[in-house]
Formats: sequence, structure tokens, C-alpha cells
Amino acid sequence: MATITEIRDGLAANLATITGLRTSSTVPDNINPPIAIVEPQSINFDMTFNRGLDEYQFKITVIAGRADERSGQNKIDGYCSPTGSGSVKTAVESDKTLGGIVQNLRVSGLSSYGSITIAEVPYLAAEFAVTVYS
Amino acid sequence: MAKFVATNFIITLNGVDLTSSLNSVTIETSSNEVETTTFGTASTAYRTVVGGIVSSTVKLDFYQDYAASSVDATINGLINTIGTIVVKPAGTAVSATNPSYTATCLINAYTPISGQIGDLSSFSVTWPTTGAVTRATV
Repeated sequence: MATITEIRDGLAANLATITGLRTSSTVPDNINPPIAIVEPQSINFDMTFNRGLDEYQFKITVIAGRADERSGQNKIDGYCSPTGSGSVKTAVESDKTLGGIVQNLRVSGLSSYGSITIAEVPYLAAEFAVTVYS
Repeated sequence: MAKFVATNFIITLNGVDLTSSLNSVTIETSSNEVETTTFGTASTAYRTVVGGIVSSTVKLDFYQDYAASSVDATINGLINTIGTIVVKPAGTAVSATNPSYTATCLINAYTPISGQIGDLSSFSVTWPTTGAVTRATV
């Protein structure tokens, strides 16, 4: 059974297949966009008997600069696309076992899209919900 | 052993451990109720019954898995055959406080394909037993 760190790292590795997108499997002190940050949200233990299966919920936050608002939003749109080389869903689901350490995973949805402020700097961001079975 | 949360059941079918694909197991045994109340009994009297034929079922709720030696590979070839289910409530070590129950079942139902978009593929089976369900403590 994979550790939560291994799952975070695996999700970040899949995200890194998107050209030009930086990734972080931990929450960084300073961000350098565009970047995708993987964070665990919740765990549903004991989906089957004898520790056979757990369900993890992860949040992937993709952050883009908004120095140029239009290009920043277009970049976020590409990450939100259901398909294509910039699609977060396609990248994360490109290896649904994360190299064989989990049973399955699914990017279930986009949970938010909009402006955020980090250290008094405005950015554009999109949050994706990911379910991992391990 | 005290009351316990059902997390560590061990369930095998014909010796194949399917525990990690199961989230529910039920073995239910009941007997027929045979009427023995006779004519002439006062209308206010109680009816009388005796036990008849005993029957059992085994109900299993699976998450589907098509990997080798897993759920589909194990059950698919067993349709219409007799299989042996062994259930241990609290881990593999059988004891007086962790009795194993063995049921010989007619595997007469299987749902190889079942799924709802976005959910884990799952299915349930209820198999009748043939013969007694046995309880062991060693």
C-alpha cells in the first residue's frame, strides 16, 4: 500500500508531463508560476476488509501569473481542458496506477477557478479534485 | 474478544483470498417454520411450530478486479459449481474468539460487468449453501 508521500509524488510526476508546468508535491513557501501544487484533502480508510483499499481525495491547484490577464487565463483554460497536451486531467490520468503503487485514480472535476492572492501578488488559479484508490 | 468493528474479516473462495476486494460479508442461516397446531385447539390458544429444513446463504459485496487470481479470474469459471467460502472475523488466526465459518455454496450467480460512471465497479452475490455451515475454533 502506497504512502501518502508516494502518491503525492506520483501525481506531481504525472503533472510534470505538461510542458512548461512546474510541479510541487509539497506546498511551497514561494511560488514561481505556472505551477501545480498537490495537496491531500481527506482519506476514507477501510473501503475493503483487512486494509485492502483506502480512498484518498487530493487537490491539485494550478497557478498562473496574471501580469497579462488574457494570456494567463488562456493558460489556465488549457490546464482545465478535458483533453490535449496541457490538460491536467489527461496528464494526471496518463498513468492511473502511478507506476503501480495505487489501484486507480480519477480527476473527478474542477472545483474552483479564479483569482487568488499569494504574498500580496495576484494570480489566476484552478483547483482540481482527484480521487485515488490505494 | 469484545464487540468489534468489522474491518479485518478474511474471506477466501476455494482457497483464493479475496479479502481486499470485499466490503461486506453475510452468512445467514434460518430454518423453516413447520406448523403443528391441530384442529380442536381453542381459539385463544397459541399456535405451535417446530423447526423444519435448515438453509443458509452467503452474501458478498465485491469491488470488481480483473487482475490475475483476483475476483473475475476466480469466480468466472465457477458458475454452476460448488465452491467453498471460509470467513474469519478477525484475522487469519482461528481461535475460540475468532471462529472460522465454512460454507459450501452453489455459485449460481455472478455479475462480471457492473459499473456506474465515476464510481468503483462493484457487484453483489448471494449464494445458497449446500449442507451445513460449519464453525471451527482451531
